[in-house]
Amino acid sequence: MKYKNKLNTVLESGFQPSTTTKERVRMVLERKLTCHAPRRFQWALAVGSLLVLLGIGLYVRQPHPVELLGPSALHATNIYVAQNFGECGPRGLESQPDYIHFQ
Amino acid sequence: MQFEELYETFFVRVYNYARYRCETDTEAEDLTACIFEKLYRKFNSYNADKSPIEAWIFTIAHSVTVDFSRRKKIRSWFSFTPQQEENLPMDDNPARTLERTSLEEELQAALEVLTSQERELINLHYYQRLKQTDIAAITGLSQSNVGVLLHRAVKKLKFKLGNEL
Repeated sequence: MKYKNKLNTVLESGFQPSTTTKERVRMVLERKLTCHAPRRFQWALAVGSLLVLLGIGLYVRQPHPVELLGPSALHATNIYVAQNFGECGPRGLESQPDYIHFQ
Repeated sequence: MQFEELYETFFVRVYNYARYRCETDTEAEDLTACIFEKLYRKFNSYNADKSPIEAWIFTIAHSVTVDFSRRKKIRSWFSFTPQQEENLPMDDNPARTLERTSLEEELQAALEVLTSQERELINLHYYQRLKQTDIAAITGLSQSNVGVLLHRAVKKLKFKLGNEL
């Protein structure tokens, strides 16, 4: 019984915050309430930044030259490569390991 | 009741709620400020007919503490400080350590053997003197579960600290 009373006394005693603690918490609280940006604004800022980064990424990315060619130009390129770099035409060149087929 | 009055009336109790949950005084101060910030933002939505002010305060304190712990865990992943150093007992404020009474030392020793949830329940039951039904409503646990967890926590304290107390 005595032991239980002692345990209860300890658990019920709690911590006594000093006056400086109280003042410090008040100062932190005041700073949070006056300077802290609203959460919605933070989210908007984060999403906006991501969109701007994505936009910059898309703008900076340069298309590969082959992407600019149409199907007929690609066909002509294949024939040109075959004629200049192989004797057997495009089909014969496909078996070569370093043959590049533009699509 | 004005917010200023609420702050003055409940500061010690809210601080103790935070202090039971945190490892250090500094962390408890941060958490107390976070709890009062949320209380301030929700202050106008409090309805006295719905629930007593204590239940409202500690329900908010509970949710803020859960968020706080989650953020702390995320921060620790990116921290360069080793985990063991972060969890050192509360010697981060030497002046405060000197002020501490022997009863506070014993309480701190008792809390160190409990989990965060058990500390919360011990605080709400023994320090805040709330009923098990209120504690269940605050924590989202069932009343019987609160009883079982409290019983286990006290048993653990008796087993671990039997020789010290």
